[in-house]
Amino acid sequence: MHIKIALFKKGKTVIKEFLIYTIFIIILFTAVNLHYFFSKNSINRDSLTVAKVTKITEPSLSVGIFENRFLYLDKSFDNNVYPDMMSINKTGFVYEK
Amino acid sequence: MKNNSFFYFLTLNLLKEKRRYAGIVIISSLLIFLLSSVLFISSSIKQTLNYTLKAQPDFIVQNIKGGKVAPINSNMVNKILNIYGVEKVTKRVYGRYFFDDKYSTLIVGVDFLDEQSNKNLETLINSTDLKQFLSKEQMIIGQGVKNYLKTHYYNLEYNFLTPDGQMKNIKIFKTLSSKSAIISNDETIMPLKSAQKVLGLKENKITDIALNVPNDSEWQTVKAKLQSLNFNIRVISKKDMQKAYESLFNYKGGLFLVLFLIVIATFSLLLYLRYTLAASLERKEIAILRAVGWSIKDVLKLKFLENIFLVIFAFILGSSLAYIFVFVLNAPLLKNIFLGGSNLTNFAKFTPVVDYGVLSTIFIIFTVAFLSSVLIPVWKIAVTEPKEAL
Repeated sequence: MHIKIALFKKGKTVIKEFLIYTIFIIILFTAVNLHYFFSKNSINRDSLTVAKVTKITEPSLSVGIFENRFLYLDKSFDNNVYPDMMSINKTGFVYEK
Repeated sequence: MKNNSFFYFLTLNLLKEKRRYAGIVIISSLLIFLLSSVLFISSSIKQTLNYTLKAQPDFIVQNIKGGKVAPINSNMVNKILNIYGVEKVTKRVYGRYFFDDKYSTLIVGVDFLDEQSNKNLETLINSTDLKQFLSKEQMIIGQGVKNYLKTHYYNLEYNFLTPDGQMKNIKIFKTLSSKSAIISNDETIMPLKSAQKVLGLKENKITDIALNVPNDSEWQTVKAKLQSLNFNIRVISKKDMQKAYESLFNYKGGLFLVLFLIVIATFSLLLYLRYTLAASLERKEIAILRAVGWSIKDVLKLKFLENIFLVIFAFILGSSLAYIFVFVLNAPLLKNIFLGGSNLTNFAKFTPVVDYGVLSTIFIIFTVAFLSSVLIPVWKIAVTEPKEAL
């Protein structure tokens, strides 16, 4: 009984802090969901318009997609330990299958 | 709920050792944040590419010489048009133009006089500007190309050096929006003939041919007919492209998932050790609760609720921060793992995509590992006599 009373006395201030954390999390979660609801698919349309003009849908990777990674060289120098290992930053390796 | 002493005790317990629990929440959130960020990027790129695949022609016909794509004769277009069921046969001219030995742009030649291309171009640039665009030899560039040219003081035009040693001056008409940068960041769109000159192709040569076959059931037959046109022809279908994209980004996402599993196992082991060996305070607390009459079930309920709250808090915090990091801040640093960083700077913006299935799987894996590493040692202490435990 003593413990319970002590808890009640302290409890009211502690609960407030707990509520603040909970409200913070709920606000964060709601904000993220609202952003998602209003902005999904907004960017896709622009990509589709460009792809319709160029007829090219390959991702614009910051590497040589159709060419060697470095000009005039037919070798990847990404990994010094395994120089023969294929670089994963190339879409080309998928077609090796 | 305010009158519930159990709940008061639970919250008190959580807030009494705020620092200790804060440490656990921060580490857990960080793990969730990293994995969610990677999965958000991966699913966003995949979704965008799948969406833009609508614009991808059903088949691409390439000429292969020595295992590499070689220019193809444009009169092949007429041969393809004779195949029954084929439509929208388009000449494609593209290739890389190297500004120096590291940075390059993808030159894409478009026949703007073609009716279909003309319509799409109208949507891309304002229709009011279309006449102005077609009046001169001009180009449309991606954000990455613009950034490169700007740093080299080419704000209005660029002098391309053609393979035959001549200079080709082309004016910059417009920069493509960064919203489309995921596919257009390094692209330079120009008239077909200009692209042929810049890439050193003769007038009757093109890079490859794109075509559509509206009837799905004819795909196999048409593919066979295309392959029989010439022995060195390679036909890439839309499905091949789709599979390639899936494999590429699943592969990278998968790598992170494996790393996550290793880290989560280590983290659970640490939590387990903390509850079994190090925390004599925890041991005392449980023993006192048992001594004042709490049952084993009550103790387990208290610890379960305490930790499930921590898990939910850490999960929402980690995944929400990951969402903001990827879709609001555009994932600095992490973006380069997926889009590369050795060529032009990528200005891609990610389309918000949340895969709830993957998120709930992460939640379940994380929760099970977390709770079992806490509840098993707690149960072990709770079943021993309070005297012994103290």
